[in-house]
Amino acid sequence: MVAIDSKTLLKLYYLALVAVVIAGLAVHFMGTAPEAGEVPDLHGEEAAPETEQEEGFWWLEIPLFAAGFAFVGGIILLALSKLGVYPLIKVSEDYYERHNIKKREEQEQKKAGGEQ
Amino acid sequence: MVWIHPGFIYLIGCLLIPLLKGKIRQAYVVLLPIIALADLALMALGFFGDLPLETWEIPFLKYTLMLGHVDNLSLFFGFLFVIVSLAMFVYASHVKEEWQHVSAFLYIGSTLGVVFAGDLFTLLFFWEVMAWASLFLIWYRKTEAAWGAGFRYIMVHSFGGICLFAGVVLQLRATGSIAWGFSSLVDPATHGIELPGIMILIAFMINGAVPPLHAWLSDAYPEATVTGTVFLNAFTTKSAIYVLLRGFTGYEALMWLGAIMAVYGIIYALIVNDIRRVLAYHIISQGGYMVAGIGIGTGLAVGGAIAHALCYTMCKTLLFMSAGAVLAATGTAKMSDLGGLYKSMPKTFWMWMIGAASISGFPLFSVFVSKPLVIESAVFANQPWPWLLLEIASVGTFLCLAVKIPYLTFFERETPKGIKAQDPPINMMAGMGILAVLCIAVAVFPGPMYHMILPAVEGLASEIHTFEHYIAHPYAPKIVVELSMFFLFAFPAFWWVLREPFTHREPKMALDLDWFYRISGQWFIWFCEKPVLSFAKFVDRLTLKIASYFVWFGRNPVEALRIKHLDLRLQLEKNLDVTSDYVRAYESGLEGARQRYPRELPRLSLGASLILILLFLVVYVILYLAG
Repeated sequence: MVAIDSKTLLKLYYLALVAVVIAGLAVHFMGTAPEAGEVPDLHGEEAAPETEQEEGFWWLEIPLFAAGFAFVGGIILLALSKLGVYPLIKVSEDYYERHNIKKREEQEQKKAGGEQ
Repeated sequence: MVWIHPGFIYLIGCLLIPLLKGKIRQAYVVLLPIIALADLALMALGFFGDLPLETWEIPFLKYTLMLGHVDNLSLFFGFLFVIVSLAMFVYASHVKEEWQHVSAFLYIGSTLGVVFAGDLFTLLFFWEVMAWASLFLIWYRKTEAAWGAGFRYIMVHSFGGICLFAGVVLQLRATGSIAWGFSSLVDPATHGIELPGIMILIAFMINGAVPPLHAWLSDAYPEATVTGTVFLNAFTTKSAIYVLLRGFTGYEALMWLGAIMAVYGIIYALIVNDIRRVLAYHIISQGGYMVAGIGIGTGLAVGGAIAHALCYTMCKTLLFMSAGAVLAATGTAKMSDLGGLYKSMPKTFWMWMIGAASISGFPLFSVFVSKPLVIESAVFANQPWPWLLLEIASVGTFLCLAVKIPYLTFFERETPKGIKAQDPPINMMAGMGILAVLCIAVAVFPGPMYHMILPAVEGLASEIHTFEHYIAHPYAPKIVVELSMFFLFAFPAFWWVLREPFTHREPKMALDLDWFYRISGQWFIWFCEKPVLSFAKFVDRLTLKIASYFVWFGRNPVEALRIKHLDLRLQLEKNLDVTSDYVRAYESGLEGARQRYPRELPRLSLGASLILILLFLVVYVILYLAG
């Protein structure tokens, strides 16, 4: 099996980061969106209509937006779930057992029987 | 050539399972899905006629049931269910309890019944069978938690069944027809739905685990057997997606519900402790993409939703299989009890990682060719909020399934003492292997899938060209680079910023909306058993007492009145300070009278009897006239 060397992995990760940033900038500024005319004829009938270019949201035009969104979005989501929501809703695993009225009554009856 | 319903291959085929033993049974449970797959292949090749095919019509009352409505959409979902079921039965073939296999076959057979149903009665029938058959996959775990979860599961699904039944009846009353699947229930002019549609939609939303009707899923699925959860994950929710596609494509509310679902599910998936519960919540999250796609209703969105049903189901099943392997090997699926499993379960780890990479949408892994379509469709439809929610849920999926769980389960620390693990047996590995290969194959060669989906999209959605345009270039450099950037930059959010809080492994559970019916349900049962039942007992006792008094009185009314008179007098004399000797003598006289009661009955003459009867008659007439 593959031996995992964390240092090597980290180096590879940094390399990938640099590569993807360069690629992202290249794609953004050189514009590689397919031409509408390239859409193949999928029906065997008329060619697909001239596809209007994706207008999109203005923020999608920001270079490397996906990178920033993923990083910031990830932090917000993790913080919201683990530090925001989780403390409010976490309970012990036997929560529903402890709140089982029938069981509680049975235990109380047993306890009362034991005392007698 | 006579058309054979693939669902009936499962439904009838399973009857033989209890009679078979050992290797023959193992081979048989794998053979049945292969036969069903061959049947579907023949359908696709046109052996039974051109699509759409309408067959297996059965007269019922004054209606005609149609069990075989085959078109491009039903055929696609048929393939999806049969292919994943094949891998599932390979994975589960070692299970010795034959009835567990039988319930799995009934469950899948009825799901295919839903898929090919051409009328509402057939849909309703198979919908109910699906719920009951799947219940046994939960109860077969044979734990108290499984028993309770199964009970709640069937209660919720019974409610859904009632809603569907009500919707069917109302639809029948409104239109006089039981036809299903030929046209949308959404009014194309107003984009609204009528009451029958609302009832049917609620039923579909329950099965689709759309919040706030979702809690049954995360409650029940993690309590099922190791193989049971694998079966459960694929069919109920995806058949709900299928019926939503058929009936509610373009219903805008679904877009919002889907977007909320995606985030709701992922927030819970990030915080719960049990791996199978994480995956259960993640079903809700991923279902959100499909529901949102159906709601957006454009070609790209609907095509994405259909493609996602296939791509996502394969990788989610693979993840459930890996989690099941961990549970089977270690006896627990709780991250608070696990760690360092990579050394002992390396193959399971890699299977998990293929599933995680696929579900995250890495290039060359299955979901890459499906989920981005739905997200992109929100851009085309100019819906920034749904886009934002779907996009953020994507980040969460990657962080949760591709980073957090592998890290906490397979690395981070040494395996806790007392846990001895090893990779699962060959059949389980083979089941996972089939899906791992498919997860990659469908992403590398998405063309056949897209070309199967396209005719279905044409029948359902608007703006078909958006889908055609996208599938012409699924690996456009912009998409590949942006998604790669997406994952590479999301990783440090966990690893460098917020890893530490997640390494505090707490054996805790997270409350969800099932709290309302689990707690209030207990109080309701307590209220029925205690105050209501006590009151009922009190009324019961009182009624009996009054009745017995009248019986006693009726034996000799004259003597009874005399005893009551004496009794009253005694009470009075006691209060009037009469000597105790007198009272005692009086009491013994009264006691004697009571013991002698009813004595000999007084004999009335015929005239006196007539007078009494007349008297009663007069009283009756007066009461009657007064009333």
